[in-house]
Amino acid sequence: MSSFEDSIVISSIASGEKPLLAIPREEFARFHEATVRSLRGYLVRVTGSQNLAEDLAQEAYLRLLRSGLTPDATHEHRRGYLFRIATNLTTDHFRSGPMDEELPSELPGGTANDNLDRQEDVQRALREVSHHDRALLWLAYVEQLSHREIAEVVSVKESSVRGLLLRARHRLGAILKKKGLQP
Amino acid sequence: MNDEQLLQALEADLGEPQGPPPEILYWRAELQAQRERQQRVMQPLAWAERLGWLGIAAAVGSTLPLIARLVR
Repeated sequence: MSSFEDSIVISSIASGEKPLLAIPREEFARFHEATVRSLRGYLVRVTGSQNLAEDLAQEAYLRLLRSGLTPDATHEHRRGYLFRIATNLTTDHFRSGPMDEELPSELPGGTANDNLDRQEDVQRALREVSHHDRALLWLAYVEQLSHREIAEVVSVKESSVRGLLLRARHRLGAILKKKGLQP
Repeated sequence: MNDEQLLQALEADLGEPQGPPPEILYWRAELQAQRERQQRVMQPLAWAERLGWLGIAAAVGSTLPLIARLVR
């Protein structure tokens, strides 16, 4: 950038235009610290890939910073918005991908006949439900969001969330049953 | 499958975060935003420059018949 261009940018900042980013620097460091584990966990569980989850998490933070959120937005508002961006990114990813629901084999797994414990059975079944179902289950059971918050994150009506969650649980149970496991 | 089993399965084997620290993310976002703002500022200047060149071309074009007549 030339010094002339620099001076234009600096003068536009000094002239009182709106701040460049939606969250002040120090606040962002705290916000990142408080959210990065759960956001990344959500993305790993939904996408099935740790590498992809890292990429999407970074992109979600960048988009949040460059969003139109006002700097005085609450932590909960920012958090909900971050998960919404992340959810949209995963939806775009699966929409553009060649195989919608096939998860990469990065996560531990095995065959259905392995004598593994219950947690691994459920984990394997989770890999077979849709990414929408995995997202809903994570938001409800791990993040413990309210139906209203879940509705905002996944862009559905609040009144639909209960039914969607019940159906996701039912599909998970059906997969376990199909594998000869206790649903 | 009870809620506890589901929660454990959801949270299992997620690995550790490997991404860049928040300072780097912030810096990248600032850079992107500055570039965009700069493009917005520079765009009218680029159009003004183009219009300037068009004006010069039009002026030169309009004087060409006069020059030709003088040369003859």
